[in-house]
Amino acid sequence: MLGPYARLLEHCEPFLIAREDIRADLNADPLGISIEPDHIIDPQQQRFGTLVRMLRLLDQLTFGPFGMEMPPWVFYDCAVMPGAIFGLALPAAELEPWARGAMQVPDGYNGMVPISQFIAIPMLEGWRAGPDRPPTSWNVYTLESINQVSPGFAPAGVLRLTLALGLSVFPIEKLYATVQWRSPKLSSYADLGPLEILTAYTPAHSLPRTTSLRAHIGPRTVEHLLTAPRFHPTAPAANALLDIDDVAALRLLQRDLERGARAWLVGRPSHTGPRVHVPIHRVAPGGDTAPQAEVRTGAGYATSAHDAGANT
Amino acid sequence: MTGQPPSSRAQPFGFPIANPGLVALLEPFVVVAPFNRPMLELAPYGWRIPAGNVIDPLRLGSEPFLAQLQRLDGLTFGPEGMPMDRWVFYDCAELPGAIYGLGIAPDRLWPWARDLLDLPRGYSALVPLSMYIAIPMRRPGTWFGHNLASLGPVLRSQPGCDVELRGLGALTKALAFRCFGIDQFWGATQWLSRALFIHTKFGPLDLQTAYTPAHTESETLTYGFRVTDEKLRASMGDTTVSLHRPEPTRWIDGRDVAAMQSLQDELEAGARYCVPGPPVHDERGVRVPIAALD
Repeated sequence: MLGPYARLLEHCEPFLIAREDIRADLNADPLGISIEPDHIIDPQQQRFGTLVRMLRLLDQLTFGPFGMEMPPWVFYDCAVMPGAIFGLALPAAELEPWARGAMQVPDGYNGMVPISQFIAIPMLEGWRAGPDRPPTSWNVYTLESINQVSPGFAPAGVLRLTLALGLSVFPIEKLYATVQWRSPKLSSYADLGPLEILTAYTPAHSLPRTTSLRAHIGPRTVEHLLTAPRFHPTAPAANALLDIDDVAALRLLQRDLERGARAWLVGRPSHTGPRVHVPIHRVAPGGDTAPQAEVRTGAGYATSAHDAGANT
Repeated sequence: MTGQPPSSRAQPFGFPIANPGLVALLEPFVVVAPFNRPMLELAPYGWRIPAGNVIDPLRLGSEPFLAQLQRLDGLTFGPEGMPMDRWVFYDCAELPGAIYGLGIAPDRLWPWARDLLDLPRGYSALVPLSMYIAIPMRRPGTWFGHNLASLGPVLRSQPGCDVELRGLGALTKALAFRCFGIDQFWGATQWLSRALFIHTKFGPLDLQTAYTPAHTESETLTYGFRVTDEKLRASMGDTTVSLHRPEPTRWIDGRDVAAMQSLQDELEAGARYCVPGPPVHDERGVRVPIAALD
């Protein structure tokens, strides 16, 4: 399964930032890739300041342009304490001088330089698993790679491998994620299989054109993500295309969801000139999950199933 | 003020609290996503949250209320430089956990407070005056609380204000604990923060970190405690409850970074300490009591 990623794995090293009490719930050998003991970091100890500072810089570089840079207190309160952080790193010695400068690697530092991170925290509903079990539902609210802002800094495929390994580190059976509709990360998420759209337009978020997604992570999900991303046996056919820059269409879908409709993202975004569409499978309130062809015009969001592209 | 008290506030608690006037004046609310709602107690200590005050953050119509929560946060924490962006509210509270708080009906709000709270014209929802935000952790009943906001001090500072909101912060926190079903609590605060007065109302605080470079303020302590009914009642001002507090064995000066780092070194080496009681703020600065455990 990891064959295509061999070149990446020759260079990158996984790391895990997790407080001691949560480590027992996490898998330190995701997909057979061992996280070295000295790459498992207790963020509450004073001596790991350099790595945490560079991780902060990575977040600043990737989310800063969205106005969503994570302040250190949020990193501590909303990642370190309730959850954990997984990521990939390159040895500082392998970085070219410009890359060392970009990540502000201190002179003489020979440790890891983080190039990606995946942050997950438990969902309250995940406690239904029982009193002595780790939660089964997790919210992944940060997934990022240095390649987003500096393509070529790290080998290609870092983001997708980080997502795959992250899903193997955490005991995630039900994944929640918030993603900006125009984020390139949406393609990686879409390759997990059908994602239920919980919100299509989210004014409670800093960027209302954010979607909240939910997916069941099965035993084959990660394999699909890494090996056959365009084939999802469990995905229903698309019966609509959503223009993700059309706020009226997003709000219309949101209102439908609030009235009891359900919708799934069932494929990657497609770009046609200035327009970006995502294929969705929509079910009317009270309907079953059978595909439903529907055509709307103007501020609507639907078209016929055969237009939905790669997933059909 | 106008309007009648809603029926939801009839005879809650069953024990004395510090400021019963708050119960007559305010209404509880909770912000929780539908899939998380079954995990909450919606009538903590008998004070039922009206159905209309159970706010679904996934809905468009909730936006004006959620914007007021951000305003509440800004008024409370803005001066300290740690106000929360909306994405933090959403990703790290509303989606995974919950927000509990107390608010006032708009027709009961003091007219002079409307501008302060920046209420939009036509705003008709509950006006939140306090909130407590917590995130679930790795086991049922274990939570990390990351925001306690109360407009009590801000409102008291307004010219001509005669509003009695004493005890609002502690009451909100205790009710949130019961609403969320918190058995084991964790939190983080700064050594100089006045919030330590509220936190220590719940009894001694076990120290997990004394110096925290991963936080915005390295001079942050991470603390926790097992939650009991006695601790919650004590925090709300039930004078019939008394909590055991060990004698301090040392004091930490709230500005003495070297002392914090030294204490952190001891914690990393396996020593156990607690903050047994409230800090002392006087002309010598801020001193926080520390007691050795075992």
